[in-house]
Amino acid sequence: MIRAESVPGGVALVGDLPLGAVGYVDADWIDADAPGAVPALVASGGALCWSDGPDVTSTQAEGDAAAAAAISAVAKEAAALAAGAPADRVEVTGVGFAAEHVRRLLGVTEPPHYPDHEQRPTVIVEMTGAASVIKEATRRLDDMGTLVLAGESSGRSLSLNLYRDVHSRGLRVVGVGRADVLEAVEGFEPPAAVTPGKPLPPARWYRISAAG
Amino acid sequence: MSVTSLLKSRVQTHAVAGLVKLGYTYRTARELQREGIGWAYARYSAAGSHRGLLRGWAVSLTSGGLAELTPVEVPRAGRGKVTVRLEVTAVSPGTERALYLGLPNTALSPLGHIGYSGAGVVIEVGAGVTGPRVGDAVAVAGSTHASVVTVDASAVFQIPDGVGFKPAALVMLGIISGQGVTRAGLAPGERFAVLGAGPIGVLAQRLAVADGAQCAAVVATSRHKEAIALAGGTDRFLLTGSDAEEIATLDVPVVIEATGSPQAVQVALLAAGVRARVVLLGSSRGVSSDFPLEELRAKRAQLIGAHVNTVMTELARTGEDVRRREALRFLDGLRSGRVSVDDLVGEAIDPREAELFYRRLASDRDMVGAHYDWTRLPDQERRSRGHLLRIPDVRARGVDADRAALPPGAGHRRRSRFLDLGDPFERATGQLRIGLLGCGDIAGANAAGVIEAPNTTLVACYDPASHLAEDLAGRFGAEVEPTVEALLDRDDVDAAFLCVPHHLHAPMAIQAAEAGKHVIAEKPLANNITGALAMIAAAERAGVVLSVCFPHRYAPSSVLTRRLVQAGAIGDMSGALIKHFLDKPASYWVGGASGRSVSTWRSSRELAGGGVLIMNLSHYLDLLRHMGGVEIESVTGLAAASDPGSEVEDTVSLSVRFANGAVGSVVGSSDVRATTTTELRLWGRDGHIGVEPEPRFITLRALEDLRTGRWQTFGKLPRVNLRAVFFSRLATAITEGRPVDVTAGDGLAVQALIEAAYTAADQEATVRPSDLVQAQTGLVAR
Repeated sequence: MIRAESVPGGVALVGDLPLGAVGYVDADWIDADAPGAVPALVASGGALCWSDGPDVTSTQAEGDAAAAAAISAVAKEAAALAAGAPADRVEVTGVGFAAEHVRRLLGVTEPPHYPDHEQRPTVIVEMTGAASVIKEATRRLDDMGTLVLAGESSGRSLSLNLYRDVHSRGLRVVGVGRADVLEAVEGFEPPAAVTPGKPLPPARWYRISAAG
Repeated sequence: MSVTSLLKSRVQTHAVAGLVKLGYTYRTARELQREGIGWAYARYSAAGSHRGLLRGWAVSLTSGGLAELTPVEVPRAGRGKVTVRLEVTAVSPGTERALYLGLPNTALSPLGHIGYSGAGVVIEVGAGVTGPRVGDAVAVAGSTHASVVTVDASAVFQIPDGVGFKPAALVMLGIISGQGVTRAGLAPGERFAVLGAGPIGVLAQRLAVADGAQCAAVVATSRHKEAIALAGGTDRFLLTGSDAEEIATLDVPVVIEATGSPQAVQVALLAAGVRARVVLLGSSRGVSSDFPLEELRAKRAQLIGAHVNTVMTELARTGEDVRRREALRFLDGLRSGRVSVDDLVGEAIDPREAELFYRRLASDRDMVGAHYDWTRLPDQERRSRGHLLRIPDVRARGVDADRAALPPGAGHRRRSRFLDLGDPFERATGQLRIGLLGCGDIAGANAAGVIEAPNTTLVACYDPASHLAEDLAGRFGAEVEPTVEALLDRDDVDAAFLCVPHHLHAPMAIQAAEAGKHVIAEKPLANNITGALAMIAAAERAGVVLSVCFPHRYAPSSVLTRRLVQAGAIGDMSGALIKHFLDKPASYWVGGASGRSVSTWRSSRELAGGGVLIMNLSHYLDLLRHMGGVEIESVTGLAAASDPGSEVEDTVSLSVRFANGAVGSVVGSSDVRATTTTELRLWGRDGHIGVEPEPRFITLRALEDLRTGRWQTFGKLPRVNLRAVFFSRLATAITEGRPVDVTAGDGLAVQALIEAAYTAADQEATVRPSDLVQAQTGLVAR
């Protein structure tokens, strides 16, 4: 179990990792405003699994590469759902490794830039899992637009007014879950190694090892 | 908010505030504002069409939280428009229940109009319209519940031969459901489940099945609509709670959510398979507080918002008229028989009874369908010529207790026939010859009544104080008899009228009956149940009529109230109130109201039977039974005498329960300084009648030529000698051998009620009048 905690100077990760195990956390999975349990990928003894869920079958990868493949798989699937839309009408939320990967796949800039202020995104790929960001995304989307929900909610509850936010505007809300079979990725940005209990440095994702 | 919207909102707020300052209630001000908006908008539209206005009726929701039929003006068809006289408009139960109750995510139109689907006949076609022609039977998408509408020609679709108005009136529901099915992208043979068995869900199911998809199950919250769901092409009907495990095994690629419940998305995802499409067709009435985000992600499912408004978005973006496509698909399905809606059209509602209908709909979540039948309105009122110069009608809409009642027949072109009273003596026959026993206080009024009735004669008078008998005989042309026996011996006396102290009613009635005379008692029948029963037994033995003078029954307001109650104006009576206050002077207790005869019997409990209750309120107790048509089953109450030396009460407060469960309050006092006032009202779920002091009524029922849902007066009521009518009708009944209006049983019922009230007050208990009668006779009072 890996947790985010407020510490002097910012937010830190702490965890009960077995000796030799390594945890990986996307920056978007950490809610700085409400620290608590965060989802994580845990690599141990050549195997990879989600801290709160099933094992992940990696293809010819270990450690950082396996974790990157797991996160990238979600990003890849999310990006595929936005592939048909013009890049200038697609928005990706989040600042983490997965979000950046989606942007890269779609050729989308951050922050989004709409030359015409009347225009609204036709697709938003939501990678944070945060309720406030999801709600805001439904309101920003163009009528009959698509919202791809690929972020880790980390157990945070979400309330939606389905009439106003989805039904009446003809939105399409698509869920993208965790992948269980991965393909290797190359050329990824390595995670920032963090020390348990120490403030997190700015980074897209983090690697945390067992204390000591 | 745009500047225009802001400006409009400010103007409207100030308009309402201004009207409130002028003394109108907030509700009335809101309705006046709506009337103003409707008035202005109709003229603005008419100016655009250059063709003037038509007038009709529409169902509106008013700011009082009520539905009513209000006048509406529509422009006559201009360029690109069509005017339709509607025959049927379909109710969308879920949407309209939500609007009526003001549930979340509902927005009422500025005029309060409701409804969105109908069918009728084209009566006018504007320039540039190439499709529908005058006389065509058409389905109208977006039609409000109104007798006449003018709409874009693109919203009107010809009804195929062989299809009736009722099924065609569901066209908008067909469009809503059809576009949802289209958005689901169902392939032939593909399995799907529907959540909800209301008209939208069932129509979606039937349209999808008609397209070749396979309905795996319909899921609902109760079994009330199971038969309708099964008729739509599935053999599986599941309940959301108890069948959760089975729902989880459905594993369908498509779920159509048509309940609008904020929690339904959880059930939808339970039924959904991996990568399923969940179409949100029902308008959610609230916030989904625990949105199943992880379930959606885990199943890689997608939610598809399918509000019908999106068809206009599609039209703007792609040029495809989805509304037309779906309307034609629906109507063709009806024509070919591939889609059947006969079980969805539901019951026919008279538009005048909209409020009654919505009250029922509010609590009946199992109603599948209903429709307004506009042919119930008189043809000339469904659409008539409107006048541009008409000023806004401040009385046009809005039920408000503070507003003046309308005159009878308001809103119609003729005076109400329902409230015509006619001549009370019109059918008088025979000639009843009456001898008056007792010529004191009330006898004068009774003698005058006998004289005024066309078929009764005052023959003789008797009173132990002979000057009183001489006085009345002299005034009313009768003869004086020296004794009771002498009066009863006369062959020319058919009936003896007892105007004597209450304790003398029984012995004198028995004496008169044994002499073969019909007996009329001034109210009450007697001073107690024992006396009343003895009188009845004597009359039965002698084969004569025994009646009690309760003349208030013939007051025009009482006659009309009874007529309204019998016609169903208030439905089943649920409550009643009698309040009667007066200030009896001290002289009353020794000389009655007139002072003609000095006697103290009125202050004796034994001789009079009681005080204000038996002496004055007895009239209203009889009226309540007579007008309400329901017996009083039990009574509890309190009574008090303000004068410690008095034997009879001058103040009484009773609670009564009627046989149908209704409750009533009876409060009276003869000791309220400088006051003579009476309040009498009856009410039920369907209406309310104020009999006194100002006769007026409101009914939610459509009754003949009365305006529904508005306070109305009885109009100018004629002055009638009530006692004369009583005598005349009594004489006619006796002559014709028919039962009299006021029977001995009526007299006994009031007597028993009074005695029960006194017993209840003495014992501080609830007493059933029938028990008191049964205790003496073994019989149950009628």
